[in-house]
Amino acid sequence: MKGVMVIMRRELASYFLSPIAYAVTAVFILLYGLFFSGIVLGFGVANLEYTFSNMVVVLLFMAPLMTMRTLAEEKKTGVDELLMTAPISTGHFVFGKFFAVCVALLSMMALTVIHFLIVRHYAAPDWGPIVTSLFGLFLAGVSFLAVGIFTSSLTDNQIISALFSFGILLFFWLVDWMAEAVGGKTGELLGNLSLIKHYEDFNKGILDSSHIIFYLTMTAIFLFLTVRQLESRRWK
Amino acid sequence: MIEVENVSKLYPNEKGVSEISFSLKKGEILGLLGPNGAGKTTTMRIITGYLYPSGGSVRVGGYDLFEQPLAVRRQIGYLPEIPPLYPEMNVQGYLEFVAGLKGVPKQAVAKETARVVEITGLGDVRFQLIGSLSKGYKQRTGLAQALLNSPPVLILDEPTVGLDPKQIIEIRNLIKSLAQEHTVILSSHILPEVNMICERVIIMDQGRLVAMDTPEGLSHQINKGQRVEIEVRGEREAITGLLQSIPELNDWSYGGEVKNPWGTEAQPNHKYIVTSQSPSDLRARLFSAFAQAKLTILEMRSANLSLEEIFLRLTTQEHVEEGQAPGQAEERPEASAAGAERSSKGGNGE
Repeated sequence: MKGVMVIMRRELASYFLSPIAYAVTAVFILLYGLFFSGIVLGFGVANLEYTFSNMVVVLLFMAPLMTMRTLAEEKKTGVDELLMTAPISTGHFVFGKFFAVCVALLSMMALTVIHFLIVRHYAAPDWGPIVTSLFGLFLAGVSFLAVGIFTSSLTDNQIISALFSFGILLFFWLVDWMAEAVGGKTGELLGNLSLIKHYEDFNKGILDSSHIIFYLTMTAIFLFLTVRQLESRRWK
Repeated sequence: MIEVENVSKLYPNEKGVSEISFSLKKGEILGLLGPNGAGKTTTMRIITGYLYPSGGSVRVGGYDLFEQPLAVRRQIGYLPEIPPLYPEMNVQGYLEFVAGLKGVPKQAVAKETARVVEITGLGDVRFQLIGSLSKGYKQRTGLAQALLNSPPVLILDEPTVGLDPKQIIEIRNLIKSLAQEHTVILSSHILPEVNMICERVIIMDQGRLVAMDTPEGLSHQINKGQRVEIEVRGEREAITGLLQSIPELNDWSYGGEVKNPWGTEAQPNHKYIVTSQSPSDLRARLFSAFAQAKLTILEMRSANLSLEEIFLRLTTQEHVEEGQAPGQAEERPEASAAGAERSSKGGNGE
């Protein structure tokens, strides 16, 4: 467990030293503010859920940028030779990386607290859906990050890593449309794989364990694949 | 301390390593020697567990690489060919990170990093960003990292590459002093370096282990007969004729002309390298033969092969057989010149 903390601390420090962190955060906050002011002023409602449902899509584009360098860069610079020969298990190593980007995501989301204060100052919003939406946003974001970490383990090129995770995430998003076209049992199965569809209930203020389990399962699968991928490099 | 048995690493296209075996006792320094692409780095990566072998077994400190990979990795400090550094961190921060990775207890981290900074002479740059360091300091930081937590085994891949001559001497002395407490494997393609530091040498070529011995032992192993260098005054034809008439000689080669340093003689002197399997001292035989022929020997000394020549002999043998002599000729002009005028008795070749 100590190894996880060591990896996480270094990764976080390194993340916040990189310009990517600030670019991603700035764009995230900018878009968030844009949706927020547009919806609140445009519709005149004290509502944050619409903003959140847009932010899931924004996150889908931000997450690959947050994770693209996690493993790819070390492979490129040769630091992986230190990490893969250090007395720390590959699982702990991947967890360390993953928790670091999760903390980075949390810190980015924490900046949105100002919008709650604005809403609270001018109106009396329904806090239930806001809290579940925020929770859902985080859960969805975490699964995006797991996908991103996996694609980062596939290559030593950050751009390719980001592209691959865009590809995977967009596939799991658009799978919803395919499901409607296919219909029937297969359609239902495909629909259940949709990253966005599982977010809808959170947005309505519903906490359904099946959605939570879905995101956590996605996360676990991609982290597991990452560990396998890193281990398989030793055989190459 | 380290046992490597029949280790192979197969790649689909390129050469890996095949059937490498050796073992190392505690406190030994082993040098891996070979041209680029010989499999030195692959061998080291296998011992450190960065790569798994396709066949064979590796044991470090009694632990099997496959059964207890973490226990093996705990025994090893590894300096890869490219030092594994984060340019955005400073030296101290980086060393603290690696100390944490290696499981150094929190209270001991400050003391341990100070120790390796002291050993590797990083004091002046301790709080500089690694990205701004010179190549020599980067190499030292890599070495410092390997020394953290005093692992019983050190594996150093080309530790002196890219350093200036002064630094090279410092690092060599450092490695030598480390060998008292650590078992060291280092790779190099610089022969005198290995000769200087290592107690044992493995010569690798094209993924195979070509020879393993002490530097002196290798000399004996290759150079079974006697080898004498002579400088003679006289006509070249006369000397060549005389050498051909001595039955004890197995081979000789022409070493080139030497200008007389005092300039009183118009004609240059000639150098030869003569080898023989004869049990009696070749020097005595040469002396009497040349004296009878009234040719003056100006200089004569027994010349056993240097490690460099052994290395070239071992690793170029195959190329010569394959008819790639030109490549070799570039490296050893005197040898190819001699080849043109080799005596008919010349049997063993290069």
